[in-house]
Amino acid sequence: MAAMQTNFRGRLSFVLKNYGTILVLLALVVLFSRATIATQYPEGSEAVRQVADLIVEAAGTEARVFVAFPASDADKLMAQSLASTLQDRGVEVVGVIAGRPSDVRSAVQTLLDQGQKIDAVGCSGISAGWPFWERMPEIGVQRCYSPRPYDWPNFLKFSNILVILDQAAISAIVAIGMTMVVITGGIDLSVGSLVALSAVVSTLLIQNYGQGTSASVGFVIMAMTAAVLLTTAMGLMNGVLVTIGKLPPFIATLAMMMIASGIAFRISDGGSFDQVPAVFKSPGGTIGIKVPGTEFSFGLPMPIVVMVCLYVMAHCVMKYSVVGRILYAIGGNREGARLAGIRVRWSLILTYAIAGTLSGVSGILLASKLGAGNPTFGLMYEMEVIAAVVVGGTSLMGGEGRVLGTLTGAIMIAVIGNGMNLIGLGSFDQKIALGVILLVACLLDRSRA
Amino acid sequence: MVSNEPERSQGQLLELREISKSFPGVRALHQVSLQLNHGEILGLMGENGAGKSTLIKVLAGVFPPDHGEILISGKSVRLDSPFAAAQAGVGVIHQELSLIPTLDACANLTLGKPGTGFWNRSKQERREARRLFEEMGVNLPLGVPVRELSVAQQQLIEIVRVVHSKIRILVLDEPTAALSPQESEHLFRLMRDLRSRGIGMIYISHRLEEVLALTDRVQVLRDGESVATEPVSSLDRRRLIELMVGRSLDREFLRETGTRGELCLTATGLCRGASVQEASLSLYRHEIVGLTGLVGAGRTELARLLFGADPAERGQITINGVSVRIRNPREAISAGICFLSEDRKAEGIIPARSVCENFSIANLDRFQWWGWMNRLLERTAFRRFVDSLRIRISGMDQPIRNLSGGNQQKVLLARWLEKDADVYIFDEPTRGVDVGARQEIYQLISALADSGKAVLLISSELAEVFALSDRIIVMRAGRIAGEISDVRGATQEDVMELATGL
Repeated sequence: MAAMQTNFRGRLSFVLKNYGTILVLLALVVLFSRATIATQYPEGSEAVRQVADLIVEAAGTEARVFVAFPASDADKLMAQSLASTLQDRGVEVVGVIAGRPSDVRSAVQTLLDQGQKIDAVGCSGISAGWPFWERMPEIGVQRCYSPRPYDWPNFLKFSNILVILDQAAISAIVAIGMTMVVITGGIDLSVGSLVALSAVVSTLLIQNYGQGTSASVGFVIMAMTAAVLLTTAMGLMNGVLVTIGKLPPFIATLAMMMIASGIAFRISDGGSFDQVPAVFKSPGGTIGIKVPGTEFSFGLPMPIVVMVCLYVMAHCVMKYSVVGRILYAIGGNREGARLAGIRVRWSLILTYAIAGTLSGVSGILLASKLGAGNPTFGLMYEMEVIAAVVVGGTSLMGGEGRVLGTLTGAIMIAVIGNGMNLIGLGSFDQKIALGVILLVACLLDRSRA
Repeated sequence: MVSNEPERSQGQLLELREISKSFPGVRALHQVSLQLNHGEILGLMGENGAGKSTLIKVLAGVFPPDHGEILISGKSVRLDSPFAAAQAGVGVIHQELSLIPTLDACANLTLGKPGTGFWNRSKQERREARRLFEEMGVNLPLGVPVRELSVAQQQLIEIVRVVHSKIRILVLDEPTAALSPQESEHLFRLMRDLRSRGIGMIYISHRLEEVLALTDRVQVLRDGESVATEPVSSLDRRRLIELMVGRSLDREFLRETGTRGELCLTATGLCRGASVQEASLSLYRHEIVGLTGLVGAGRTELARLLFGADPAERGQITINGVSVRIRNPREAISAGICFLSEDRKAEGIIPARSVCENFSIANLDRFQWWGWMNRLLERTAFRRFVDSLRIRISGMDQPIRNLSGGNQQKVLLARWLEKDADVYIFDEPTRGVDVGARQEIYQLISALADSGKAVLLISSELAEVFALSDRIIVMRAGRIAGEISDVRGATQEDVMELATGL
């Protein structure tokens, strides 16, 4: 009977309540996609295959082919690849060049002057559009073969999506800890400073005590561990101040934010540490992924991998573990939880410690990605992270919220930054937009109550 | 009083015509009509979930009705906000008080009233407030922040405040839930005084005796519909219960006393500040001990010491012959003590979480495997209690805040029953619980003692204490004032004598 009476408004509020953030995210994706539609040319092996097919189809395997590409590194690779593909199919390649239009033009002209016959030119989308082909009667535009162009939003390109997720990853990892703290009814303002502290401590140890760029793998691991342990200890301190010291979380973590930031500046003297070995850069770098069964390959940024793993873990912990039950109970009714026999203090200390750990991990990833540690890292992260948590539907009153909502929130913030960059709006406009989105998300949140 | 005559001649003070109100999935009110005359106290009765609260919220302008009409003094009015309701002359005393705890009585009285300036209250306003309190026969310290006053005193301030704002219709939602009999009597005097001034009152209470003694007419709601409106003279306790639950009760609950089992818990010389001083008591298996006294006598405080909710300054607790140290609830629970708090909302339920989570939060160790919840085990265990306690829920994942008070209480009872402890302390277990569920809770508590548990029952309702207890302990001003072993031979007067020290 209850289901029968659920009217349209009820259903709407249900959808908004559970999927509101995702709907807003989708709306942003659609908006940015529409605004960044542009002509795209296939790249890589797919493009090479396409051009080779076109040439063989049109001119046959007896044809004499010239390969002309622009000067970039990627184009050079493609030119090589096209030449060898054509040769594999028995087509004679009379010349390969990847260079500026004038160079290409003179190279082609030289061949023609030598009396060479060119039946077809393999081009990229760009080199096929060069105007001088028109003025070469021996060739003409019709003999230039390039990958078929198509329209696709720059925003939605696979590479761009990876960029967005990579940007989101660092603060999204911090946001896991923040979500847990906020669910218990607290807040942690120190996370940004802990990110900086972790980045500075790990790089400082390597540069000053571990032979800098020639530091051993063991030492790098040790330095990273030490940095994370330090931020964990400071998070633990937050918890102790909040529970045993009975300080309001806002005050305790505000103080810790200043202390941690001060330490980071003090030990680095405000400067950067960039003498780190290659192995230090691997956690923030990319790993090559080759999709089995196809030619398709790409570099997957490690922070995304770490982020996804941590979110899966955190989601399971909050939803299916004893710890999750306890944190929601404390946030929902602290005295009630205590009277039910829950170790409230201990759980809260643990929660703040976890928030410290995750900040430390983020700091390492950031330093690794940028190949340096600087005390200005993580500046204002706490605000961005709180925004992600709130946009994700977690109540600042505690007791309600979801980890995966926070992930949506963090991605949404990265999407706004990236999308506005692509349509040419600068960081000032982005700040305004972020503020508006935060307000809209919170108003949506209120309206569903 | 003369000024009221012209209005009185216009007929009814308040009339609700066929009010209906639905929420998604719930029909809260269905064509409920209600009349209230000048100078009349109407008792509004019904089990929890019968629609009383919704009806009051319609009157208070919190929920506009879906259908129906509200007439005040014969004129149709729209009460679409609490402000509109106040303008129309409707004042509501909710169960939760709305005083500002840090301000004193006078400041609370003049708060938000027109004529109150930006600057501090003048001496004249203060005098005015004092006069008002005196006129109403309310005698309490006016200069201290209200949070330092008792609940009863705060309630009186609240009433004076509402009456002060020229209301003609006063709605009181369970005002006596937290009051001792004497304090309640004071409130009733005030209400009778207001009645003589022509104010119409709607009075809601689960205490049948009060309703029978105080009101002129009783209207009973059941499942969102009005089932009866009768003058109180034609009603008695049994008839009223029958109307509310819709079936006749064979008899009201009376526990058959069994034989006392072995000694289970002894507490000696428990002290904490002025609230509990040198309190000693013993609890035996198979026995229900009633702990009563006036509000503020230290009953809840003593229970909290036993449970470790507050640390005791001195004193010893022995369970099953072994001396135990109880510094926090966790230690109490592992020593075998369970405590059902009187303040269900603040200290019991976790409102936003599901019924099942509320059930298992005290039993996590039972339903976990290496830190992960075994949801099947958890749900199976809870399902058993849902059936045996007849808890009305729409599903395991329903948030507990959506349940009626009685059902919330049953979930909390299930939580502690699952613990299978030795000692059960129930603090006002039937507060805000309707008659039907009340009987079930009585049976449950009784069965618990029969199964060999030691039960300490704290209650302000003497009828409840007498019906259930094998022995009654009375507290006064933080001390154990006395004990009544022969409950059947004792009277309520005996208890009051001990409680007041007269």
